[in-house]
Amino acid sequence: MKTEIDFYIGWQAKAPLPFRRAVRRAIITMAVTVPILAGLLVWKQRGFSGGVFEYGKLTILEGELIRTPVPFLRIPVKQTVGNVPLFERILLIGYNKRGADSTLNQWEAKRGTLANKTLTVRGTLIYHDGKAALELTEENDALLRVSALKESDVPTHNMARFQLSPSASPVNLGMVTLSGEITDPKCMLGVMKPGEGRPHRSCAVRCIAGGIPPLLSVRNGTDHANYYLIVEPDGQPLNASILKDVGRPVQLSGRLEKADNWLILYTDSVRALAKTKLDEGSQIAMCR
Amino acid sequence: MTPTLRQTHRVAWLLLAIILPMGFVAALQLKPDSIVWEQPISLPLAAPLPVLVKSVENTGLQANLRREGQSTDRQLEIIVRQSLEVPSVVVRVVSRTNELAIGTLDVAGVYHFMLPDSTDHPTIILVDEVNHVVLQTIHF
Amino acid sequence: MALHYQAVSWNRQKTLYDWAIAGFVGLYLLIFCGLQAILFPDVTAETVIIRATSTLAFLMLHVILMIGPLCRLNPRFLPLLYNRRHLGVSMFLISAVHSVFSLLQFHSRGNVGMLKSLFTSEPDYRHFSQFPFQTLGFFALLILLVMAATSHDFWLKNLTPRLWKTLHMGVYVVYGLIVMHVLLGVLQQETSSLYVILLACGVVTIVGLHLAAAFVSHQPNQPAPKTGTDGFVSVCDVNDIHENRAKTMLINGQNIAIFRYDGKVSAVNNQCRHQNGPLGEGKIIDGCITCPWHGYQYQPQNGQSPPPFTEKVETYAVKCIGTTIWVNPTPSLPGTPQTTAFF
Repeated sequence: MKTEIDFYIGWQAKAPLPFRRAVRRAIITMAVTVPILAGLLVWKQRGFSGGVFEYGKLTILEGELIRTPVPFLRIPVKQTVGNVPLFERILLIGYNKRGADSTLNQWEAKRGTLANKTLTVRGTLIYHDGKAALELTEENDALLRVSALKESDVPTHNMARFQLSPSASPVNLGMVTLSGEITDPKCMLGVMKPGEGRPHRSCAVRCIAGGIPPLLSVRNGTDHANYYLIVEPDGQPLNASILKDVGRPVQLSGRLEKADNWLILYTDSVRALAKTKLDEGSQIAMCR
Repeated sequence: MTPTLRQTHRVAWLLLAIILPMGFVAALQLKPDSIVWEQPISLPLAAPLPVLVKSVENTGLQANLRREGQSTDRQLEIIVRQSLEVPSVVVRVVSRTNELAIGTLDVAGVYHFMLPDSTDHPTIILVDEVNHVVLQTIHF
Repeated sequence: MALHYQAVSWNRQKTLYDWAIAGFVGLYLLIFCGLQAILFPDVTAETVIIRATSTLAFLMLHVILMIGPLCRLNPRFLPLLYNRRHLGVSMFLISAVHSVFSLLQFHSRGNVGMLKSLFTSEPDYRHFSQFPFQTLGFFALLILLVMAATSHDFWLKNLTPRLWKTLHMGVYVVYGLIVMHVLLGVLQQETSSLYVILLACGVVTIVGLHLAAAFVSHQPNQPAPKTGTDGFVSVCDVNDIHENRAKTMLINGQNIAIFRYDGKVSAVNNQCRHQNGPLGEGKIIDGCITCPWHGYQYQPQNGQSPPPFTEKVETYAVKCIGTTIWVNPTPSLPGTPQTTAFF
């Protein structure tokens, strides 16, 4: 069959010249547009945190197990000035989207109470902005050794002039009101990027519903941020009741405590911010 | 294409032409309010000593050596501009015999630590104690 | 045209088309992932995959939706239409990668199943600002899955072209769902106005092209034709039709294409058996009406595809009085030979 110059038939081997020209123009347009679009879409992203999840690398840490209000491994810093006890706390987090408590309960079911004992544990480090967590990746097998608390780790009460943390009990910093976003520390510290914001919201809900303690992240817009673990006023977890406020702008009021290098906010006052007119309109429409 | 299908196409796109711009405007008006900026609460700090003896710039931070009048007390002020992405930062003062810890650093902000002696040339190291790595050395 | 079903009946144009798709997909992914690694070394691999595939699939959806109206506005783009379903299936596969990775990333390994998590982790369906945008993407993917699964001519034939075309109009619903998925999702996170501008340009282009094509192809009600006593109606003068081309008429609900060729006139139903393509916009080539969409062919005098093919369309009785063409709008059974009308 001879090729018709003004009519295109797809099953012929060749398209007529005018059609070939049009397709060539379309291809050239795409060849220019596709790289530009790919470049622009990448270039204009907000960027990602420098948080680190040491996936595949296990680290062994030794410290005192703190179970309440949130699970920590409290690691003593050796050779301090004036022998004043100084600690760094590593937040303990379970494997997958779970809090550490299920693993800790398994350990205690096997070995009896572990709170305030020195534990040697193995896990995957997650850290960002000076805050660190340890994922108990191996769950039951993550606990390597248990020993009594060493004499040197028991705090003494002197050398206040060095502003070290002399006490095992956290320091009360008074009542505060803070605005920010509630997310889960596991993702926020480096497992996911972004680990906060709208697209990540459902994941943060899943993590917090799974027992990971919620974290309020507060930012001032110029790279200055701080993070506050959130619990009920009596120190109980508030994971279940806070789910609806995860991943959206909220204002929290409560008592702030410093637990070594972490801040813990005891609160039952969570207020959603940035309610939109559209939302109010839809509420009226729903007769609520 | 049948006239009915063509008509359905027309209606579908007219509907989308109305709905999508509405959705666009509605979704964009959510955006500006969605990010909350607030000054985070800093930890209670000892007041900085009034006299700045020396200042050193290091990667991501500024270290100041401070004193009060003619007193022998020396204070280390560290202004962390960009936090170090490591699991642990312990601040240690280096002497001939040992490296004594005077505190820890975490988020960006200002930190004050009293120094154990009155030298105006202390050497400070920042140590990642989890990995046993010296992160930075500050020479005054 | 086919006697039996094959996965794909390849020809040179189809091969070129698929190479072009693969080339552009590869180019986009290479640039996107490469630049991510250079400009944002802190990003995780999962995020790169999720963002690269989502943006690529959305870009492909725009291209797919542009082809139809472009062809109506300028038939020279028809080669892009011919294998459009290959582009559609590729787009579905890429969006499926985005969806699977997103489901695994955000919803797997939690305290409830992935799908339950998808629908319940953000339970506030009543408020626009809190609407779980991921569910919009899920339903869009479901529609795309149905479309991709039924994209083969086997389904086109078995579902009937009418139902198949209606089903595949689901892509318009997909477009609406995806635009809202993007607006309520990632655009609530990313702050650059460039993304808003790009999305607005995309929406305006797609909606604008479709409305323009709808406007161009809108056929105003034709004046009532003159009806004779024998059921024939006068439709037009023979000189109104170009040689080997047709004029289409809607008479008594019948969509009729009247072809002029070799001093003769024939009338067949305007809808191709394959995809209801507009036969009246086709051409007589080698003595056969050839559909402009996929090249299906019919003999004008009897509406039958040339042997060994078996497709048939309805035919209509035609006669010429002088140079005036008269057609009987009562359809004869598909493939019924009609007396040739000479002019």
